[in-house]
Amino acid sequence: MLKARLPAETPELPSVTPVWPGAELQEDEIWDLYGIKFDGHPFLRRILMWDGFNGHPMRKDWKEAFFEEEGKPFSSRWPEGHHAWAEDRVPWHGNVNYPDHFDPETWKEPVTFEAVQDEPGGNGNGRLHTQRIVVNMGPHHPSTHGVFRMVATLEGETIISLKPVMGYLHRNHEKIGERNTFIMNIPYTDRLDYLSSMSNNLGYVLAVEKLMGIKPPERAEYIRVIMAELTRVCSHLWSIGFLLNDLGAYFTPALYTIRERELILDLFEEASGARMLCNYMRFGGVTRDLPTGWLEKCNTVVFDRLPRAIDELERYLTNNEIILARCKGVGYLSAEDLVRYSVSGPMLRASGLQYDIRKVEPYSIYDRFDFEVPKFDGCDVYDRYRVRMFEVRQAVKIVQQALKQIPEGEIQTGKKAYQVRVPAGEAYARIEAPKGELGFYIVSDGKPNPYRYRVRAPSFINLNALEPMCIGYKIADSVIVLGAIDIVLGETDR
Amino acid sequence: MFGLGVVKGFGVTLKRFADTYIDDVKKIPSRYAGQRGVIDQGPEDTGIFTIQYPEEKRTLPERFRYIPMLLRDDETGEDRCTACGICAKVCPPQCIWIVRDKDENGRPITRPTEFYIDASICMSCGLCAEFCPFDAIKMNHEYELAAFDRYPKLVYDKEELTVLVSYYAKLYPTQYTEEEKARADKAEKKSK
Amino acid sequence: MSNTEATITVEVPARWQDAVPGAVLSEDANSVVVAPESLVALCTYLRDHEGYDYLSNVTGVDYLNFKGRDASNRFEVVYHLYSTRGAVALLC
Repeated sequence: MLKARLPAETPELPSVTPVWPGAELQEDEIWDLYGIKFDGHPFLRRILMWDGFNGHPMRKDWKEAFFEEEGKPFSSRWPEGHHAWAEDRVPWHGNVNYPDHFDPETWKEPVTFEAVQDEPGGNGNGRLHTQRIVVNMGPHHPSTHGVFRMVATLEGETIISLKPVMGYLHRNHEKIGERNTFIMNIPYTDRLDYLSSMSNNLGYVLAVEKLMGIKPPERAEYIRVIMAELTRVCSHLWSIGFLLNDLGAYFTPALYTIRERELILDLFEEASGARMLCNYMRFGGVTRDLPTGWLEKCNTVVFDRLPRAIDELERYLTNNEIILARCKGVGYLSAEDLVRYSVSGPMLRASGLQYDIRKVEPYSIYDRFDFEVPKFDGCDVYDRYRVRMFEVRQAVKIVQQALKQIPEGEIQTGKKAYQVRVPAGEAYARIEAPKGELGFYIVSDGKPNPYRYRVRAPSFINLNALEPMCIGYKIADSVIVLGAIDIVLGETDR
Repeated sequence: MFGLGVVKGFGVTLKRFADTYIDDVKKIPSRYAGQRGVIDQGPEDTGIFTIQYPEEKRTLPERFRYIPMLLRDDETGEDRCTACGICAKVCPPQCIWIVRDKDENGRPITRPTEFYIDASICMSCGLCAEFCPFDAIKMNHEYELAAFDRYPKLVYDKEELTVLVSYYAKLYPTQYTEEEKARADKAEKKSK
Repeated sequence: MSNTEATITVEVPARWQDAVPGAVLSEDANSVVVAPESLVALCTYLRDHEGYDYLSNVTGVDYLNFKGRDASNRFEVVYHLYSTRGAVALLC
């Protein structure tokens, strides 16, 4: 871990984008939330907030509108609470508090464009006189999987530049995390990547456990691995289904995959009480033991149903000529470039690099299971699809092993308490979430709430590679390139 | 052969198409005939997975959680809640607020006079039910709460939240038995 | 988890200092404080010669009124580096 310390007045740091271009979005975010300037950054902009937002919200002297105190944010409601809406107490009515010299009427977006540019064009493909056209896709566009915007400059139909614009779903998860107590953050992590809440729980819980120096009992470890791998199946099935949606196979393949996912969600619901926002893991264990009959049901799903379903899906999609024509060779970016862009997860493994955190730095009990890391080296959308398919099979294989080995016993280390004591210090834990490397960086000062709570969100950082992967392809291909990155906006915008 | 992949793929769709009818034949009387009810779909099922809500509904597992409810004893009519406030302290979106009762001398006693839950900001996480030391607050299965006004419809007061223990025992049969057993064990230990 | 903790020991080799003089200001159990002006030079060196080719996480921390901190070092930017080639020990 490298650290650079900066003074309170005009904090400035040279940008590391020349070394790792993947730092671009993260440095944008630091500028946005902390007001630290990066010299030499190619395009420093407010990426999550907009320019009309006054102040840098992650600074400790910036307080949110209803802030009362740390750890117990709304003490005015208790013990002598009377009903009042939080938003009625907003000091800035309508939440408008512009910075100095900011005029919303004359403001221009940082990602600005002139719709049509009559520059001397021509992409070399003929003698046509072409104009550059800017196409603004999103924020409300079905292909963007949420509220996400791509500003693409086109020549003909070929993309010559593409800027991602995000932040429409921003809620400052990290600031909320810093005023909440440690345990209150667990349900909030569900809402990051809401398609794989169990993985998010696991990542956060591992980071805090690292600080506390505790380990869950055996049975809880197995339950965690089973849940995390079932989540991977869910998330990949969803992503495959919606990739096909993006390709134009409207909803038939998506519903076929969702049907299998539904059975896993039923399992989650029986164990945790919720299908998607599970809130199942706790520091040193899990909330409750598996209900009776759960393991049998899970056995049927994992040993019987899922292998058949995956076979059927492969028969249905993998050799389909239309999919091959649309996906092969699209969105090419070499392994070397992907690493430079800080890309992680299935995209990296589709470029011939067998980098999986479960193998290189095994957390929890992943070192006990026998599974393979996929190796496909097409670096294109088709191989990203195949990597996901392969990983679904491997995840099922891990769950099968875990179901055979799971021991009886306790599910919680120590006594369950609503307020945990976390010693001062800092910890960074990363896991191989379905979307890529999910990291939690936590600084504790011994108080009930974390001093710094940072989420390294794979959906956000993988977007670094969106522009280089799209340039040179047709505008219709940008949709499937984005689909193959597999972002979830809850995590991108946090 | 070019085109074989597409043909094979359509074979899968054809099979699924047939499955929906086979499913209907297998399930005689059909789920669409007569009164519609609660549907339970297991991993063995094939065919249609969609449920015609609101005519049909899914079975809810015991641990299903939606909005908290307060328990009141059937016989004595006493609330289990002691206004200790742990649920309010652990609630992530801080949607619970409690006013503690006072006796004649103005000293606080272990009973709530008012207990509100703002269902419009409740995130259904279940932490309150998990950490309540008196098993006084549990998660209700009632999920059809749509209303036209947030206030006062979605701010539930104590009377709206309170249910009888027998209702809870019906919703959560296993958990209720476990808790009662633990309670009996504890009482037995105390009396010895 | 335990087997990874064993690898988290940082000893800044002297060759770092030789490669980029004055870059490492101080070091403790799990981090290295870098002089801002030689950050890029050190990162380039680490990427090209030490195998830390993967920048996993960059984040800021605001140590306002934190114990042991004052206005001269209120902000901190943290870089988590890893290697995708596997064999290189972690710097974490």
